[in-house]
Amino acid sequence: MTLFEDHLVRDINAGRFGPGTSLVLVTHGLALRIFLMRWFHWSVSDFLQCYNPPNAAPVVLERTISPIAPDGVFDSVDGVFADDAAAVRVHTKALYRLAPASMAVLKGCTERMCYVG
Amino acid sequence: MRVGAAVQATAAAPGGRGASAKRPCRRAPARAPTTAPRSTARDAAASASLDGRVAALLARADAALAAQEAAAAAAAAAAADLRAAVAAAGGAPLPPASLTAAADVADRLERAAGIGASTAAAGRVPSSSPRDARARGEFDARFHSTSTAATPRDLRVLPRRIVLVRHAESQGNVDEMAYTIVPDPQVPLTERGESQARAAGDAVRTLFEADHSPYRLHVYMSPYKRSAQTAAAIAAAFPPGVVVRSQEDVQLREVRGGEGWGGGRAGERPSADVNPTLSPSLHSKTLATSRTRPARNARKRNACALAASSTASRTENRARTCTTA
Repeated sequence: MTLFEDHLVRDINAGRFGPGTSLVLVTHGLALRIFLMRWFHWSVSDFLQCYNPPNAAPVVLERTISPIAPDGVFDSVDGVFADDAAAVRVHTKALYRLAPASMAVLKGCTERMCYVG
Repeated sequence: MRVGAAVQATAAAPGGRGASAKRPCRRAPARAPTTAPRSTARDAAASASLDGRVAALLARADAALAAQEAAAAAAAAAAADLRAAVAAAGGAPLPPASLTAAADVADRLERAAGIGASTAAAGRVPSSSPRDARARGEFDARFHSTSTAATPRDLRVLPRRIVLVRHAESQGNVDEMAYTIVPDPQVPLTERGESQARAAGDAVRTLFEADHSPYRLHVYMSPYKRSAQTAAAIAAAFPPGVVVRSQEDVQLREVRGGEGWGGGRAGERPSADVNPTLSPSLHSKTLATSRTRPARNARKRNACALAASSTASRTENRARTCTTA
């Protein structure tokens, strides 16, 4: 799963997905929890306190940053950074969070586990 | 957001960063007017013309300096506002990334305003390298081994959402004996599972259409039949052309621990819905109890009652329950 996420992140940053694209990953209960564990840096005990979601219940990771953020804040021009821009050092995974409704779907998942800490 | 507003205000200020970038601004041109040793009428005329040009250049330099001072004052004010906003938001749970970025912008504003040197002189501890997040013990991807891979250079490439979906109800979820008859990767959905998958498709579509902006889907699925069926039902909920690609990825298959590979008996397969931590007695339950729903529910209650079991026992069971389907 770690490999999958590494590959996915590299694909995302390389521009694999066009504008307006969303991803849907259809997988299994334990695999889904491990995906979240690896994405949000859960500890083992975080992972173990979280239950499998119900069958076919979407768990949504939302992008928290707008590609068209005001220029000054992220030092970007139309979402593209200069080499030394401030936000470039933010990991792609940290730009997503678990939607509140999805946290409710995952029994045992807490607010702290919904973003990269 | 206050942080954004403060910075925008700075960007709108006259001069802005563009002016401060040209800070080493020469007050006087390199070629100063010199009095000609041999004074002729022609030289005098040339000298007057030179004086005029120098005066014009000096006026321009003065204007530039005034603009720069105004910009520096605006930057200082914006930096102060930004610092206050960051301090106020410091207790909020989200979003640390934005706070870091805002603090960094404040650093840069202060440097542009020339505050760094004066405050250091005034005794404030200067941050040695404000741009280096490692100094604060934070993640700075520029110095990460996957630097170019882990951080987006262009935010427009980020998918709007990443939706994870567990497969719909499969025959194995209803009756674990299914795994003894059909190989795990080929266990199909139940009828209820089919309708769950269609409902999931509708839910995902509703989610994407809430924005009223164009969207496309890229679907990844586990190669197991129950996932492929679920993915197909979800994709069927969208109009043609929206799902640009569906691809299997074997890395999305169910994760299984060492004990489960090949040799596990179906009766030893614990329920997928039971938290692995809380299932110390699953292995003692055999085929007879795993068949029916009431028995399974009783097993769950039993498992929850044993939640406070010892760490050793939990570790042991964690290893066993890695075969959860």
